[in-house]
Amino acid sequence: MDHRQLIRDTPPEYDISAMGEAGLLLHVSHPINMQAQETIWSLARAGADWHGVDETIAGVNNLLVVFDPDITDAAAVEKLISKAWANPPNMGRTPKLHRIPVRYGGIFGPDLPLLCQETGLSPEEYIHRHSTGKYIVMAVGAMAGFGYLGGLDPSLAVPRRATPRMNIKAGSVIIGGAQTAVTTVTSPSGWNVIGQTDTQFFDPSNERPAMLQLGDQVTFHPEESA
Amino acid sequence: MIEVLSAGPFATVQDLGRTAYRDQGVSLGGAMDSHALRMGNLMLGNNAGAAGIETTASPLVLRFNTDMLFALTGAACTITLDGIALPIDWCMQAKRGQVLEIQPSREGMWTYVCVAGGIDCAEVLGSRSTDTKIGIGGPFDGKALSAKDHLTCFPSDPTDCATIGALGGYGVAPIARPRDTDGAFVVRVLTAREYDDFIPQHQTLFWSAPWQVERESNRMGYRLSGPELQTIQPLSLPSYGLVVGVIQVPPSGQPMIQLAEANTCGGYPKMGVVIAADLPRLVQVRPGQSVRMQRVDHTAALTARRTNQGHLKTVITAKRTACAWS
Repeated sequence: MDHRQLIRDTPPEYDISAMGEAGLLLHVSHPINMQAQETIWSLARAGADWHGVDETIAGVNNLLVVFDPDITDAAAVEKLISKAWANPPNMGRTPKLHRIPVRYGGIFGPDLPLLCQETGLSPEEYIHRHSTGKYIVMAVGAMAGFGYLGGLDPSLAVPRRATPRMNIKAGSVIIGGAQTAVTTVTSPSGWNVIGQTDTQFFDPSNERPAMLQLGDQVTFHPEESA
Repeated sequence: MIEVLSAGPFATVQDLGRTAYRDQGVSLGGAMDSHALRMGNLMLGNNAGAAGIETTASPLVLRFNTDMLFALTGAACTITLDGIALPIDWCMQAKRGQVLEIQPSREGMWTYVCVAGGIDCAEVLGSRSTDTKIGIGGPFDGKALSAKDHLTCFPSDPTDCATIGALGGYGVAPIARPRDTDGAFVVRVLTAREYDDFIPQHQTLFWSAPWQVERESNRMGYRLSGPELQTIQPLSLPSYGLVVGVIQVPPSGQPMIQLAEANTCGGYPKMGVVIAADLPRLVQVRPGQSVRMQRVDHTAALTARRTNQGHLKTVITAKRTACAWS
């Protein structure tokens, strides 16, 4: 039995495939869809408590369910996923709103001039559109506490750099294609840097160490200068 | 109880990793060769997931400041205790003051030193594993070991220590690392979702080519070089959660295998996933050596998993036999 044999009798909106012998990946078929994403958040929360399931990792329009093959099996987990998809449990968590102060441009945003060139916007207009946007945490991943944010104004989208930078500081506010995000650890990155924030997105002393959780809302605003 | 006299940047305290925080973007982490860590711990009568020391690439020199039992597993290399050569997959007693010297392996990659009781340090996010990317875990806030560090261990059974000391030590046989006729290490793989999106001739190449492990391989993942693999059409995938062992193919066409400290999400098409039972043999392949992917099904993957579990049971039995020696 290989990964394809698990794709049977599933509703046309998603497919489920094996990710190794201890993982199932639910992949939503149509383009990125907020209702499907909300269902994924719901399954991600509920799934962590399913019999034999170790972890759930929500992606953008997909969900990975990692289980223990000593306790359960792929067929049983697939049934749980399908059943929950048809009738998503209400996980009752109120999304948090996070307001992130940003030092835009100048030495904090070395790619802002390039993005203005690419988009035809003035720096003031680019910053205005970015800082009036309303963003949603679609998924948490890429690095500790990193939120994939949906909702970037399409007029601000610029592809990732041809050559990634070796190290950009934690707290860099970045644009990559049609997504925006904030880096949470100093790391290499091919995304465009438009600003910097001091907000801490990861605290290992918390039971849920990532500040951004699935479905939370994020806004950015220019930091008042001293 | 243990003083580090010399260590390189890749000597770190590891256990079996953080199993409940991947949805927070925290890598699983833990020992690259988790089977070797478990073996070492079980030889000592520890819980399989007790914290030990993982080392590669540089010498590691430790001085034991009390009598204690230790075990050596993983990649075979030149190891001496006060200058006397020791084998790998070996458990014995060190006397107070003795110095253990572990040279970098030329046969494999990751060597483990486990100690009776396990290394004592605080758990962060459920694990004692060192995550140098985010600076958590291990005895030193996410830092690798270095000279003058002192490590402490949890208490352990002094009778076992005395018995194995009198015996002189004991060894166990490791799990198999079969090689193909061209010397490539065989690694069993389950196909993954985008396997069918690859050009059929490239699917064939995936199973037939000797994939060379490249120098840019590390705890995050192994990069492989060989024939270029292409999807039938360009694919753009939204980011999805990763499991350890997933084999992705970025635009370069050269596969990479995500390992213990991989990021938790990624977006490249995936050919397959190395079965969990074969991660130990995969991670011990050195840069310059090759891997051959062998296609297996779900049933074979589960059988292999049980085989590895059976091997650990033989280690438990060996320990019991050694400690009953008189």
